[in-house]
Amino acid sequence: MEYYDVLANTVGGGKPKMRYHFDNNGWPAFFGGSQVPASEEQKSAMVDALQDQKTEFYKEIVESTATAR
Amino acid sequence: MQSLRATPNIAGRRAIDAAGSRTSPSTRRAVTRSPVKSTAYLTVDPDQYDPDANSGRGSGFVPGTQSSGAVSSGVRPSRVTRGADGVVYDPDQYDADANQRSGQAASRPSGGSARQTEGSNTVDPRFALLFDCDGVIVETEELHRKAYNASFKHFGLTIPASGKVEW
Repeated sequence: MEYYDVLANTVGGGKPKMRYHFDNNGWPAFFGGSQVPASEEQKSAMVDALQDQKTEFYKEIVESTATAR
Repeated sequence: MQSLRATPNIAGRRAIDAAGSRTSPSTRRAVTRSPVKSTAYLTVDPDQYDPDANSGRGSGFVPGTQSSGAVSSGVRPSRVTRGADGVVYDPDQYDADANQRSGQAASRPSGGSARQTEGSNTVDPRFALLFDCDGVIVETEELHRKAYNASFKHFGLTIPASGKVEW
């Protein structure tokens, strides 16, 4: 939770947040593999896929749990 | 106020009371300001350069109540307007100070069946404004965080050196 607060207040936008995190902590691999994206193109493809999936989860979460404060 | 009705006012003109002397500074401020902010004493349509204003939610200025070309400062344009959808609304309904500024010229719609919503100054609850839900009305940061983690989990994301990705 605290880490995300820092992230939220440091980097604007979801994709830049992921890039920032991966640039600082190392780029990940899908499904526990060892093949991490090397080229800029591969990195963009990974971030795009993660963001698209995140949007789907976000829509579900907002519909099921979001309440006005 | 009475002297203003008899004397059409313009912005920047000093207010003189009935005896001809200047009003006190505090009164002058209040008196000179109201005609500028209100359309009640205007004889020209403030929306004249906005072709959509009178068909939609304009200033509420009703040209029909004025004879063309004549200065008729005593005429108060109705502030209650019937919209294109047939619903009567007060163009100042979201402006709590409108009635004060215009010396009650900004009247409220009458005969509506909808009741005032408790806890708000909404005149007609059939209209509502919602603004800036994300992070203001709904605390969404935590939901974004959960969604990112769900996405990372969905793809089994692992950084070879440090393991699972979780925010």
